[in-house]
Amino acid sequence: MSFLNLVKTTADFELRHGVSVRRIAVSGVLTLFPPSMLFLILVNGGPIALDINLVICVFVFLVGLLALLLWATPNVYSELESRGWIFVSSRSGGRISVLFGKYIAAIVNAWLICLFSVTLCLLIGDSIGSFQQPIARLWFGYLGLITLAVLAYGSIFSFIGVMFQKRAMVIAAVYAMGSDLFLANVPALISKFTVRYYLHGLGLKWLDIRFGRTRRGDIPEVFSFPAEFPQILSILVLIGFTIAMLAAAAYVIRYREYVTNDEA
Amino acid sequence: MIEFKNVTKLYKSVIGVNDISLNLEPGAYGLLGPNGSGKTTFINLITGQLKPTIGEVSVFGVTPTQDDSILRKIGLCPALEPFYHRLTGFQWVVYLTRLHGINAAEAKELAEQALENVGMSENMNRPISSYSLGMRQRCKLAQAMAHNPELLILDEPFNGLDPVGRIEMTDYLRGWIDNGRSLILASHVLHEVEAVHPRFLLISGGRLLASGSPTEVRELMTDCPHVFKIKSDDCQKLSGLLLQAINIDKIELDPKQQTVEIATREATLLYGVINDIVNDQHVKIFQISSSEDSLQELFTNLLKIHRGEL
Repeated sequence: MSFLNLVKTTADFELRHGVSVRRIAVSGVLTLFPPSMLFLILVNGGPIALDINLVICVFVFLVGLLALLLWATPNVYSELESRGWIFVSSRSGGRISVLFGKYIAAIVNAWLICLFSVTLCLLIGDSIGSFQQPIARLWFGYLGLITLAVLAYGSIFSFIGVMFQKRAMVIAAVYAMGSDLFLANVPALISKFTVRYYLHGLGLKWLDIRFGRTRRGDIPEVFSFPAEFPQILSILVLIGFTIAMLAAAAYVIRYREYVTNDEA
Repeated sequence: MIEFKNVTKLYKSVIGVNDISLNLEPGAYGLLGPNGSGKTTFINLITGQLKPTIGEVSVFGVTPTQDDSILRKIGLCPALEPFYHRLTGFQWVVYLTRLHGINAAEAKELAEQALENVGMSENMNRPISSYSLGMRQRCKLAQAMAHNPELLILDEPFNGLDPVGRIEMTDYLRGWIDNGRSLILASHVLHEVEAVHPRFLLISGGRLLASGSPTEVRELMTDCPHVFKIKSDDCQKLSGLLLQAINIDKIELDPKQQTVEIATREATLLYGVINDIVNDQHVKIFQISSSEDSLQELFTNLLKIHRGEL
């Protein structure tokens, strides 16, 4: 059986049997959070100093990161906790199947949450005429950004999951805050080492976001420096980054010893 | 089939296995040792879950940590109990079988057959959460056997099985061996292992104390005292007479039970001496029991040798 079928085995298993009331509830809350926040903001007079697309981006970005933190990061840890690791890792394709299968399941979940969320946000925003661009164009812009984002962040969190047997989610959260909320905003070379730099640049072009643009138009534009980076290169960097992270994670999970608390 | 060359496994400063060298040909082996003796570490080294800190492990001619394709030839039933309780037994076994690279249709057939072999046909479509401990144990055995491995490794497989289940499992494992397939059966309960009739590996403190059939191991320890329990109407007199007649390492009297327990390296002389005592001294002997054929005695004595007590 091919590598793809092995991956499909665990992905199918996770998507079918990983569904629980708790997971559905969490997914529902995450999906509804951005449109709810947007609705409240618009009802109260709209964003004072920010483009409405930027508001959507920030909330969906946070929700997507949280979904991936919850489901991509504990790839090995969840198996160790459920004592399933010894069973899957004693299979000839078990380790790789778990890594990629859980990665696929996590990014599918996160992708669906983000996409539904964005769709609701766009419908809410459009109903009160908040957008200057056609929402179909915006939706496709978001679709591209969400797809690239969940692929890249999912791979990073999967890598962190296989690297750190304990506290992987804490480490992933610290990484997300440190790298993508802090470093990505630094107008220097170091920002190019973050995923958000490239997403940011693509977002500026695909969604026509202007950080400083407001309804009043009196705040100067800031943080628009990633827009200078070529689009195609941004996409290639993100895909390359995803592949590199997954390859590194595959190497680590294949050769690393994981010992459950019971065995230790 | 399995070769260990000076294998030591350390968990930081704790020794899991200590300088084990062995070469196991295909066959059935009972891995005996008390809890914490290194049995699970030994198994995890075979299956490539752990890398040796020192030394080399080779299974079916390859290093298991380098080439996981050999796992297709191994069926592992760990002692750990997983928490896949929302699944049915059948779904769980099918999933794990598919992880060996077996397609869905074949995996379903193999899982069904394996569950039937362990007597779980009727209950395989119920959620694992509704299973008794014994049924979960059977499910674990089924997932180990489903892909028809050449080597079956069972870590404490009798845990949770009722007496009927134990007999059935013993029969099944004997059948497995009779079909020419290999087995490693780890347990800390000797009679479970004895019932399957394997050669055995005795491990304690991470060290391999002995290996081979019970007879072969006994040859290694001819100087070890054998223990006899003798029930008599006059224990004190019997004790005195035995002490005069043969060399005795240890003697214990239990007047309430009217028994004398002795440990002697002159077991062959003992029966003649007792015959003389009965005929000449008119001491009545009601019962003589010896555990010399039991693995328990070998196990106890080898541990004593290892600790320097013998």
